[in-house]
This record gives sequence, C-alpha cells and structure tokens, in this order.
Amino acid sequence: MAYETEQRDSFSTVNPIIAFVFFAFALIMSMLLMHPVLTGISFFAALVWLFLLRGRKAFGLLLKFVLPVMILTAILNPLFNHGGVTILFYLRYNPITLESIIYGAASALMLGTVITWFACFNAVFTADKIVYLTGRLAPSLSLIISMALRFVPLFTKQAGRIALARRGAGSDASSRNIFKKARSGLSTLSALITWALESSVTTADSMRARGYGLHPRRSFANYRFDSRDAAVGGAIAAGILLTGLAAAFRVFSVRFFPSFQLNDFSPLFIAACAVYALVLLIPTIMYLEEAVKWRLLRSKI
Amino acid sequence: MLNNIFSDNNIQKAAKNAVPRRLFRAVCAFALAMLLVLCFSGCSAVSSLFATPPPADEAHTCTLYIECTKILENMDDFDSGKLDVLPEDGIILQKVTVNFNEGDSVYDVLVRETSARGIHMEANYTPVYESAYIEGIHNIYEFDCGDGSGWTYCVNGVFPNYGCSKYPVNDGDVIEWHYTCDFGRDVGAPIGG
Repeated sequence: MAYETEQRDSFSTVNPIIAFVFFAFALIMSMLLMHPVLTGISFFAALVWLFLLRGRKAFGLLLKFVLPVMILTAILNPLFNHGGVTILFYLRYNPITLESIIYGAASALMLGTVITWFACFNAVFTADKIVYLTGRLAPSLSLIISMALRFVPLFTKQAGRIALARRGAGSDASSRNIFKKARSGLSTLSALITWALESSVTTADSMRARGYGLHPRRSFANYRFDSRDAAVGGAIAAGILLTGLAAAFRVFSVRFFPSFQLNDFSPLFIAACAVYALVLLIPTIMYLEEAVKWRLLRSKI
Repeated sequence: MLNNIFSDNNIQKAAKNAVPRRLFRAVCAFALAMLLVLCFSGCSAVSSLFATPPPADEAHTCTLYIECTKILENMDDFDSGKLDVLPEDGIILQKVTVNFNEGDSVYDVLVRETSARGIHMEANYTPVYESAYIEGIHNIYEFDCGDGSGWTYCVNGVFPNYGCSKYPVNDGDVIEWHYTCDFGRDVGAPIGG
C-alpha cells in the first residue's frame, strides 16, 4: 500500500525516567534471577521487542553477536566447572557433569537476555534522553560524555574522508607493502589530528557564540510527565513490587549445585511468572496497542 | 562543502569493500587449513582428552581412605546447599586396599579409584607447584566449610608439604585424604603445610 509507513515504537516516547526504571528492572532481574523459566520469559520479551524495534536488523545482531556469545558460554562452562553429582563422562580426568551443562545453558540464556535488553536500550535511549536523565545531576559531565561518545564515529568518518582525498591526490593508501601502508596511515593520522585541533577550536567558538555557560541558560528537553507516563510508571512500579516480594520469599529459587533443583510449579509461582511476563511485555503491548489503533483509524477513513 | 563531494559516492563504497573482501578470503582459507590440520591431528588428540586412567598393576597395593568428618564438628560453617552430598558418618571412602602402577603418584591413585567408583573429584594443575591441586571430592569443595577448609592428604601419617602428583606411592603406603576446616590444624597437619 502506498500509505504504509514505518510503525513508531510507543514506549520510545514515554518519559525517559520511566523508561530507565523499566530497563533497570529488566536488566537487574534478568541478572539476579537465574531461574530458567524467568530467564526464558525475559529473553522472549526482549527478543519480541527488539524485532519490533529493529525489524530485520535484529536478525543480524542475534546471529553475529548474541548467538555466538551464548554458544561459547554454554560450551565453556562445563569445561571449567566440574561440580555436580551427575557425572556424564570424564574429560582430561575431570568429570563433565549434567549440572554444569545445565548451569552453562542457564547462564548462556541469561547473558543472551542481558545483551538483547541492552540492544533494546540502545535503540530506545537516544543521546538526548541520556542527557535529559543525567543533565540535572551533572550538566557539564553529561555534555562531556555526549561529546566524547560522538568523537569516535566522527573521527572514523573524517579519517575515511582524508584517506579518500589522499587517494584522489595520488597517495595510494591501499598498497600491499606494509611499510608504505603504515607511512600513509601516519600521514592520514597527522592530518586527522590537525583537523581535530582545528575543529575543537571551532566548536568552542561556536558554543561561546551561542551563549554556552551564561548563567540562566538550561538544557531544553521536550519531555513532559503526562497521564500515560503515570499509568505506565504505575504498572511498572506494581510489577517491581510484586516480583521483588516473590523473589524475597524465594518463590523463584533455583539450585544448580551439587544437584539441580527447581521449586514445584505452584500456583503462586505461576502467578508471579505471569506478573513478571506482563511487566516485561509492557513495551510490546504498547506497540501492538498503537498498531491496532492505527489500523482501526485508517480503515475508517 | 568539500565533504559533500565525497559524502554519498559509490567510489567510496567500492574502496571500502575491496580490503575486507580480501581479508575475508584470507580468513576463510586459514579456517579451512586449520580444519584440515584438526582432522588429521584431532583423532589422537580427542582420544587422549577422553582417556581414562590406565589400569593398575595387581602386584602393587596400597591403602586409600577419604573422609570429611571434621565438617560434622563445624556444621555451622558448612554450606547448607551441600547438605545432601555430605555422608552421615563423614566417610566418603572406607579404607580399601587398591592396586597401582610402578611410578604412580598419590594423585594418579586418587584419580583412578574415584573415577572407577563413580566418586566425583575435581582437580586442576597448578603450574607454580608443578602439581595437581584437589579442589573437591564428592562435590565437597575447598571453602565449603569456612575460609580455612579444603582437601589435604597424608601418607603413613605424615603430611607432605608438596602436591599430591609429586608424591610417588610405595608398596603398602596408607594414603589418607582429609577435609580440614582449619588450614590443616584440625586434621593434624603442620601449619603452613
């Protein structure tokens, strides 16, 4: 259809403080609670949201980074951790146990979950949100951080431009001779440093010209705290409270060594899992709600 | 201004792609070569990885004993998660007479007998002492019963101050593995041993 537009993520527009609390909750709980059911829920929620946020690009991240890390963790743990009562076979006279394999798989799942949540965090937390969050605590520090973070991509971009200009002028940097390559690289670096010094002076001048450092000026952020933020924040707070209580009363307890033990799947446990899943799926639910609303509105026109 | 001339240019893309593709080919070739080498050398290496200790010579005998009774006296310090692997009387292996090969160390005897009996045992090689260090037997590990807890051994009542894979076993030796909760003092080892 001609009017097919890219769907906007609804959670990306909630107040950054609420979003930050959500991410902190998701990450801390994923790291602390090693229960396979809970990690599975968290991984599922993070995956679904990442696919909604990044579309096809999420596949690349998963295949190139998350999956290798998970496989490596799952393989390495039984090789170095030999605890557990169920001995499967011996490797260099040390036992390979079922428990260490289970623990390896569980920690791989945990690691994958945390990385996926961080990928979501990166997609949602743009630089302006980070500055909004830290700006009130330490305005100059947050400015420096955001400028420093910007330097790496800026420098690589500029280095590429210089190299290309040098090539255009006849100094070929793609020579196979390693010494020529190094010499050419040094020339590029020298040009880059000159440019960096010059641009820092320009930046400082530009900032002064726009009145940076004048006393009554504050950073501007276009974030309000509206009723939707209150509703989402309330839901997240209730979820944190309930999940925290359940964790405190050892509803989610799991033991890997010396033998693998899970609690019985009591109704309380299932209810607590449902609450946990609901909280973590809030961004997905908001996204789907928005999509449905959009579709309904469009069909009326 | 000058940047705009280069900003979205196909030449730039082509120049960027040329080097990684060559690199990619080199990496592929290297990986293939490694795979071939692994296939040839892998068979022997893999079989040695999974090797079990060589069978013992029936002509040589010694006595082996593994206990952790000191834990029973220090139950407050003991890791409560490990209660179900702790034997009631604290004895993991009653005194048994076992065979060994000429030149076997205390470590070799322990590895052979624990793996033959399905008793869990984890050791790692410590380069500084050029010897194996016993981390845990029967899932009872060092530090499971306080900071000063761990496995130590004595032969004929003497606690050697060196690693178990450096102690050659003689006929009739009595090898005892003790779990100490106090740096060896409680099982009768000299301090610092």
